[in-house]
Amino acid sequence: MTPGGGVAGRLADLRDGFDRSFSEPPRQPPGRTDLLAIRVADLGYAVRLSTITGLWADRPTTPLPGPVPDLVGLASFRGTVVPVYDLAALLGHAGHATIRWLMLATDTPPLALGFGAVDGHLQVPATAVAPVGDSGQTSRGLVSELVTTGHTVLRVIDIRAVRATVAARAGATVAGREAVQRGTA
Amino acid sequence: MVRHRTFSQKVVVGFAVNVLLTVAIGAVAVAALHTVVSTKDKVIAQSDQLLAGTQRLRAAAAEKVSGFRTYLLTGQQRYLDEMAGARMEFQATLTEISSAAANREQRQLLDTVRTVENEHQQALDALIALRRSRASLTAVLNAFDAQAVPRRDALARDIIALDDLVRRGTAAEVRSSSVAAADASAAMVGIALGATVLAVVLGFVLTRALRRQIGTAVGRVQTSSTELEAAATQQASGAKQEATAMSEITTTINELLVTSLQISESAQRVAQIAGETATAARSGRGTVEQAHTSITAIRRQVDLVVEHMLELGQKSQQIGAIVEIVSELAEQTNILAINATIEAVGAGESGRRFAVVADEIRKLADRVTGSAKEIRDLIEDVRGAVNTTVMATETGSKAVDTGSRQFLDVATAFRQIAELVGTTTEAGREIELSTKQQSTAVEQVNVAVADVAQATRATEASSQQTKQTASELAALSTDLLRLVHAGAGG
Repeated sequence: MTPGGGVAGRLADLRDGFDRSFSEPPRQPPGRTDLLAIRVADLGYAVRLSTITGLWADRPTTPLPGPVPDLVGLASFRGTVVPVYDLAALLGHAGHATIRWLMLATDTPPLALGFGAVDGHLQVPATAVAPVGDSGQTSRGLVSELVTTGHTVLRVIDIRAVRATVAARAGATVAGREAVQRGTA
Repeated sequence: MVRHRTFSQKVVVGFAVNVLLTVAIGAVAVAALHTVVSTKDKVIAQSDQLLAGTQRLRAAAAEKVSGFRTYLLTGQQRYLDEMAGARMEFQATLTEISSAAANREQRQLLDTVRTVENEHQQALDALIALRRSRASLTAVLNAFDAQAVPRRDALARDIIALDDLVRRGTAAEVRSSSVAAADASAAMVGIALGATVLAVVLGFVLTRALRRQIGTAVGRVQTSSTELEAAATQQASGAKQEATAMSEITTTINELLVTSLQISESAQRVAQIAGETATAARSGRGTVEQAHTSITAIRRQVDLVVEHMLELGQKSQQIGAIVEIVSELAEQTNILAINATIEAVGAGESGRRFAVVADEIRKLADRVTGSAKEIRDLIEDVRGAVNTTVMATETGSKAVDTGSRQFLDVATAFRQIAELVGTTTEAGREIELSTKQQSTAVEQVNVAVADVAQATRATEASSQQTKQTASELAALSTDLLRLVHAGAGG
């Protein structure tokens, strides 16, 4: 098989697959789960697509000095200013990881999480996702499930636990500031 | 001084000294004899003149007195005239004697005689006058005895005294002359003795010097004769050896002549081969120049290849930039697909169809990303290959340059080879010519060596003759030395 023939074959397969996707009736196999495979501090993680509302790359972030060390800054999403937290710091990874990607969590208040890289969209059977169990107190309790893809096992980040952790840290900081203000008064 | 003069000079000097001494002795003797003779003659002449003068004075005085007496007796004038003539004779003689007087004493005595004669004449004149006065004869005789006789006696005494004085002076002069002659004889004897002693000394010194120098010279002649004999012997031996060597040289020269002919033939072959080599070198030089032209063309082609490769690298970089754009678009498409999936998931059942589309878009983006990655890898491979090719081409270009330079060097070397071969050809021809000339020269040398051999034989004969002559000369010098020493001893 010549390179030219290989490329032409691939191009034909690509064209056939693309046309087929529009010619066949839509089917969604039941019991499948959509995940986003990401890389945090060079470690593979996964996030349920149902727990995020958007994904952005190279989004400008304005640094915001403050008492919360995990707060990277503020970013604008569709006219809304959203705080951006370092997901690696929240997961307890030491060191300053490079943040290129931002994902916006569901629910309110708006919350954005920054991380290093995106490995891709995963669509796995529901059976491939399993809870961590009692011994799964890893990553500060922010990982609740494990997903198996081929020979790789990824830890699924619990966005609600992450939100709770952020809220707890922000609340403690606000409570401490109010106590300081009261003491001053 | 004598030592540095020749024999003839020394002999001449010796004889000259003797001759001078002889001449001096003769001169002194002649001078002494002349002096003695002159003195004797002078003394004799003076003595004769004075003695004769005194005699004439005595005669004139006597004649004067005789004339006076006769006058007194006769009274005749004629006797007065005789008296006057005698007086004149007296005075003339007195004047003559005065001029011949030898000393002061004689001149004083002559003056006295002159005075006494004048007084005597005055007395006579008075008597004459008395006689003429007719006085008596007795008175005249008395007056004569009283006046003239004392003066006549005085004059006679003075004349006698003069005669004695002259005789004593003559005797003294004779003694003085004898003393001078004796002194001259003594001087001559002394000079003769001195000359004899000097001649003996000179003869002794000259004989001694001549004996020493002649002995030394004869000794040297003897030594030189011995050395000459030895040298002649050695020369004869050397001439014999030289004759033998000349024979060997003749043999060697003949061999050299044969060798020169062989060298000439070899040089001719060398010149021929060098000419063929020069032709081959010129051919090789043409081939090398053609190869250099080809290398230059290859160099230009390699430069074009490098240029095209660099252009290919630039195009690859441009393709890589476009692929990066495609990859960026694929990533953004993937992001959009993921966001669409998120939206579809959030929409629930109503978004299921949209999720399918989003999934297809995501798959398409994944494929595009994969294809872009493959293209990027291919481009990297191409760039690597281009870099490798450029490096290899540059290496080849450098190799071509090196080859080109080497070809130039080779061409230069071929040119130098051609020149050197030309030089070699010329040198071979010169060697051939020189060898022929050398052969001619060797033949001439052979003839010359034959002449030299003949001359050597003549030299050997001459050396024998020289040896014999030297031997005779040595014997002669021995005899001469014996004679010299024998003469010295005698």
